[in-house]
Amino acid sequence: MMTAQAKTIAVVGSTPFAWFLAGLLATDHSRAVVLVTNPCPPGHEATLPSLSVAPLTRPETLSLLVKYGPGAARQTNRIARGAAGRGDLALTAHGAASGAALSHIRHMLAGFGRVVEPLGAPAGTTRVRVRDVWQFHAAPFLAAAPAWLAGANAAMVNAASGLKLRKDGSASFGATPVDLVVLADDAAIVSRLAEAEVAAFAARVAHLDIATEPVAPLATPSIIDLDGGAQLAQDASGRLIGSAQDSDGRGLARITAALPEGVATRLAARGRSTRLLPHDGAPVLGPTRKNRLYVVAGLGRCDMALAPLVARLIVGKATPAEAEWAAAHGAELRQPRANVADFAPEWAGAA
Amino acid sequence: MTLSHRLDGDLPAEFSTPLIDRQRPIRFRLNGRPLLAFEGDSVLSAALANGWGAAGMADGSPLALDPASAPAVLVAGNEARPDLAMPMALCPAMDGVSLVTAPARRAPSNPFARLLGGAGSGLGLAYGAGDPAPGGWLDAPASRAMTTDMLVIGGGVAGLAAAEAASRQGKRVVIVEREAVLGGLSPLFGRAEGEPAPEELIADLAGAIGRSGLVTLLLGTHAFALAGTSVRAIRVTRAGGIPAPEIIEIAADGVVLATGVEDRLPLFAGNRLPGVVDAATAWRLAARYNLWPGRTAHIHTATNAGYRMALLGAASGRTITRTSDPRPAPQTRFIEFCKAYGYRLGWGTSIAAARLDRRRNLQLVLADSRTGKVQDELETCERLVMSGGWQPTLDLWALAGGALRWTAERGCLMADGPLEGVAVAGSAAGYHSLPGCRNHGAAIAAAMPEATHAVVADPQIDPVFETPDGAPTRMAPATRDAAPAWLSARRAGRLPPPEAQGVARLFAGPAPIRAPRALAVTDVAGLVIAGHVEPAAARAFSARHCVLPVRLGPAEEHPDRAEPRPEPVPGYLAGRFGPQQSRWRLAAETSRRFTPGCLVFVNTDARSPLAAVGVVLAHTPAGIEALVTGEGFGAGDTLYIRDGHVAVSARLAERL
Repeated sequence: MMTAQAKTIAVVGSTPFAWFLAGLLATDHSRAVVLVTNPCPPGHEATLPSLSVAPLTRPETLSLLVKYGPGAARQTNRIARGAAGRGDLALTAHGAASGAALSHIRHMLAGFGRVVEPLGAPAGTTRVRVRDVWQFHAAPFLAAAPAWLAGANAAMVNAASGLKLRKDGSASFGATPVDLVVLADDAAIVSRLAEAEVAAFAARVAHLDIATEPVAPLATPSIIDLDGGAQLAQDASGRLIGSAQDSDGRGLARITAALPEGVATRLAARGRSTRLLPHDGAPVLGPTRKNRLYVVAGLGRCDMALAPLVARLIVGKATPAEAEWAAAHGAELRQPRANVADFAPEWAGAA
Repeated sequence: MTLSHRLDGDLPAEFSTPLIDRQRPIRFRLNGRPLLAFEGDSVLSAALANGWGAAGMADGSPLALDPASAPAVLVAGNEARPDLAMPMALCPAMDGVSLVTAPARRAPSNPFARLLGGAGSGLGLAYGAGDPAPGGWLDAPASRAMTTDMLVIGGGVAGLAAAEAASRQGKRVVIVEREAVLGGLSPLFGRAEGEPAPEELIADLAGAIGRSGLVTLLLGTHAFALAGTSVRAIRVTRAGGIPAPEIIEIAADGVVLATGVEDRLPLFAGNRLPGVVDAATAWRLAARYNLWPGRTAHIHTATNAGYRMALLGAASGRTITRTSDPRPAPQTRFIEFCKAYGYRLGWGTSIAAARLDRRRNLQLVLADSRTGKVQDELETCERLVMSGGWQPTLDLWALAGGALRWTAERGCLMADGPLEGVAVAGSAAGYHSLPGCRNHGAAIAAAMPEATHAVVADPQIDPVFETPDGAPTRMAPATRDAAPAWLSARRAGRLPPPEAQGVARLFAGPAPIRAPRALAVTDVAGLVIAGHVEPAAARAFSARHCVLPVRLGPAEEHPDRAEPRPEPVPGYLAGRFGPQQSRWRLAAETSRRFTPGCLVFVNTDARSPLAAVGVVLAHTPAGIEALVTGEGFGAGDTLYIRDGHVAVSARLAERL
């Protein structure tokens, strides 16, 4: 079945993106939606905000972020006041390779009209600031989203409930048939697809997520370190939320290295997760080869900004250019997808 | 020194062998103020003996000075060396030494604050949500390394039994005990019929491990980190007449956590005011330092052991104004002794709030524990000793990655599941009786390292004669101006006060639910009792928040600094300008230097990256190297390199 023909869609996932996608399919595209999700886990408030900008080098992807990011922000703010806000993003490179990548990213973002400014940094380090990036905050969105979903008649069911999957991508809840199942976060993909199937497009990478004690306001509330991919963001209470790949046990060192000069704090919370890192650093979306489950992976922190696009792709309302972009990023393609490969700072540490 | 804070005269046996030597008075300074003490005092006990009952102000209210609130101390002059900080409770008071607290943030000068909790009656520090700040020893490198077959944390009955059993197997054992003496809290729990006296059992076990020649004792040593089977600990040595920290790293084949239990804080407004103390701390202060501040005390207990504090206090010459117990009809052998002393006993009674009067006496508001109805009569006393129930001390277990589970029947968090190389023994594993703790410690040691779990009998007195300890109690503040109702001794959060009414609502900020810092296991227990964390979520919550609060600062070396030379065409540019894209050298008549990423266009008007036909890869002395689409261009063609608002013409000079 073409995904566009699907009238009843099950979205499996517990992230804000999964919830947002489910709601968009129900509200904007009039699909009957079942959101299969876990209860909000404790400590979920310490989640990095999604962004409308990422350190990408492919103009096709960046153009989609430019197109869909502001609208996604407006929509999330309608769902939950304050769920999206603007802030600056700092991108830092310490080495020659990452420095070259940062230079490419800087020109690319400037080409799309973003204000990108050089920032002072120690010798050997390059740092730029991207102005006015939309940041999608998980906590207010997750708090308000159930009411929004209920208003759109999107049913929320516990992930533990019995969802039976078929190879054609359809499924059923007891006697209720579902035309299409969308695996909308890494945990859903890992739990529902065979290991080899996942390995075809992405690697499982251990991640460390932390929160710190509050610090004084940072000059830029979001930071991405292009060497190793550590990411930091300061929340409203002054805490720093950090995340880095930790497959070699050096995740905390990566996060520490991403701290701005002069900032010192203490570890306050720590969590571990397994994330999917596409082999070529580019998003993966579409039906898989072996079964027809629709997977969405590798969007990183641009997931919320691209959610409206993903919803349009699923229901077949994308423009030809968007459909072409999606086809190039399809999950059923054999690796490597050389023409879409993007800069993936996390691979520096995971290699 | 205010002598009335020390017990004197004929004291009960438990209090008759203190660590202090009253024949050797000493004098030292803390934050510039003189303190009188005895040889054997810690800095904390000396401060309390001098009447410094308050650590400072927290959330607008005075905060009791005790092991949970005591800041780290440094020798004066070492303020810039956090690695030389020492725990106040471990640092010995030494004659002539001048010490400072870290951090030395002083509470604002406020006469009312001074009266209640300021410099006049304590340290006068200002406590934020993260205070006292973790000591610098967390981040300091170890100055001494040890290895052993078995490491036992805790020198109580279970720990001693584990060490004794392991030594009988010929294993080398190291015991790390925070206190300066062995035995732990077991004497507080008293002797049950048919059991040996705790002191006798401790002496027997200590004698046996001494004779083995295989057991190393590290007394006065605090184990603060456990990773795998390697522990980091701090103790304070006396070097050249001044105290100095020593960080020890001990690697072992197996670790036994015989860390005992700690008091669970009853939740009510004013539960951390100066003069309010938990039973375990009160017992330790009295037994080790003969400290019992105040002549009058109210004992509030939901445990049977709590009644012993009433008996011991009275036997030491203190006036027990009343004992209260939230259980409706508790039965314990200790109550009968209390009746003999003639105390007022209040059963089914909770504390609704505590406050300080102008004379720094405590005023207690009592309430019916079932209905919550407040009693009219205020209880006035100088000291409130509370025993709210027992939480196994499992911080090291949690730090090492051990799981925790909330047990409703006990009202506490328990260790759950295995942890390679690490076992929990005795009361930390939930055992109550003295034989149970002893036998469990020995069984665990015998099973290690192959197994980290053992089950032994734990004989209990029939509930008809010994009522089980009570459930956690929680009384929300009745007024907005009440002192905070802290969720734990470390102030993990507070019960919210009533909502503001009228105009005050405009100025009332949201009540803080939780401190933004790493949590101890007792903190998580408090959050569960307060309803801030669902019991079912306690496992995941504690795994996330019970962490060692290590310092995070900019790193000297980046762990992923990339290779010095990037690839000629990075993977992220593969196919970017079509399958025929190729590298060209461009010639431009300009002194401008182009950075990688400058886009190449066919005219000066184009700006969108989607319209670019090439991109600069590098600009070296040899020229501009660019990646250009292979469609429709050849040597000699002119393109335009855009750098910001400037577009510079460039000729395709040479295909590379």
